[in-house]
Amino acid sequence: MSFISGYLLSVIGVVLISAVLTALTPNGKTAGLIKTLTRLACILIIISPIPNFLKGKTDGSSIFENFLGNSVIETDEAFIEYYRKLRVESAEEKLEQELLEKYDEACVVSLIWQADDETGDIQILAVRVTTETPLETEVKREMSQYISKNYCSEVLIE
Amino acid sequence: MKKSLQKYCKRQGKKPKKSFLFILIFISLCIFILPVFSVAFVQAESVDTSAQTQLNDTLLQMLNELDLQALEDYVKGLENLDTGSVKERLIAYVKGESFDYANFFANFISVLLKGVGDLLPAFACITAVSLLSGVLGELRGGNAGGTSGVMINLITYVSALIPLLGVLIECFERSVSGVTSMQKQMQIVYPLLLTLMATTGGSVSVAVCKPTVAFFSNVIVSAIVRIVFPLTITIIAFSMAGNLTRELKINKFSAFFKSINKWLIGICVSVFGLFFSLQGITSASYDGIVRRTVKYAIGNGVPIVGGFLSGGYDLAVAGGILLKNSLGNMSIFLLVGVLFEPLVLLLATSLLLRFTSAVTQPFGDSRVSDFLSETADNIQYCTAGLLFTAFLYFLSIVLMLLSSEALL
Repeated sequence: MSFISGYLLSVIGVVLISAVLTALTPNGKTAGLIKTLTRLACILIIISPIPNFLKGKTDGSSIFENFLGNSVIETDEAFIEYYRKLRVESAEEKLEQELLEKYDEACVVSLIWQADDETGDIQILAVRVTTETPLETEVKREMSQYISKNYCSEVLIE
Repeated sequence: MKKSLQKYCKRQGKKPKKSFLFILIFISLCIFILPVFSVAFVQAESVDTSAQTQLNDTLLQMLNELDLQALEDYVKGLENLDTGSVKERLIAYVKGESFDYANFFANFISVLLKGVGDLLPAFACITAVSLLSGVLGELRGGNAGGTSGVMINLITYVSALIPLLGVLIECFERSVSGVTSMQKQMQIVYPLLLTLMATTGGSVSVAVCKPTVAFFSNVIVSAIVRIVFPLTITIIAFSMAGNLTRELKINKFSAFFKSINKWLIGICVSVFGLFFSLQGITSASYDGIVRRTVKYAIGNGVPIVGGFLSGGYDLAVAGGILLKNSLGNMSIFLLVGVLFEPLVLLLATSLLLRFTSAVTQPFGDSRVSDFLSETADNIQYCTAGLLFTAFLYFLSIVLMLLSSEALL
């Protein structure tokens, strides 16, 4: 901010000198010329930072430098990946609980998924259900129907 | 019980009333059934507590995974804010910590009075110089228009300007540091908010907001710091020079620069503000509709190959939304904390400039009074730049927070 104080003091100084000169100059032909020159000097001093500013000489950096350079805001991809895994784990636990309540079967569910390229949403490609004991065909069919209705049509029951 | 009741009635010579019997049966039923209900209530309460514990655990896990180091460093760097750890604050906001308005107002008044107190010597000096100038003018009598009179006026005017320069430089320093600090805050908070938006299903909103907030936090804020504030200094310099000597007619230059400032701020507020609001609202609605469509498809048994994961109540989503809202809340508190001091300084300076202008007007030359009044007007551009940045930042945070409401 030393620039601001320097600038304001230089403006005061030049205008003061201009006023003193104007006051001390005797009325005559040269008075008009002196007045015009001092006014010109004042205006030049006042507007001097503007062209310098645009050229980037004021504080060593251009006004437009980095104006658009850092204009990219990036999301935390590591956290998004962690969050997706958390959601998938949560969905797996939920489905295991549902299957236990509905078919009285303790199963291990794993969702095969990928992140959608455009939206980044979690896309379930298939549901793999592993049971401890072999299931009856009817139960297997019902379970498969239930999962394909609520989650995904690709169901693998092992 | 019934026999004893019949005995009692026989003794009284009356038949037992049916209603009385019903009451007794009801009471005896209650004695047996209430414990069952109470067990059910206890179970429901334990289910609630377990869900809350799960949600808290999920939140803590997410907080540990989220990279908050930059925000932590930024908050530590703020001198006036003692908010403690960022994680602790975020958890406190999730739990619904209320804002102490009375304390805030008391702090505002105390900081304002302190600001006025700090500036008072400079303005007392200006008033004294102006009064002295008035007295000298009266003593000069009929020779006021001569060269010596002009010199005395010039010297008193410059003497009045010197203490004011310090105050003005302080105002600019605080304004620039306030806006720069807000810009830094935006560059830390926006990626976090956008990350949380992306995780909670606002993918379209993120795609729309990313370039918009990047444009705002870089281009528009830089325009305020690099164009509006320097032009304000130039306007003040023109005003200073114009009042120093009546010979120098440069008020049109001031008007030109004022016009640039007004247009720049006006265009940014109206165009960017409206455009961003509209984009934010429409993208949030789109995200909400997409989410509902997926829910509908799943809920109605439409077999989906490669269906999207969409649960009714998902702890991770709930945790993400709570965390995002809490972060937004914290950002607004940080914004107020950063904005507070420069705004109070500008307010105090503006008030004192107008007061000193009013006090000095009746004495001697009107140039000091005019300059003070004009400076009070010109310094409003700094206030406008500061408030404009804060307003757009606030608007962007609100839109980001509202984007998840459409998803619920």
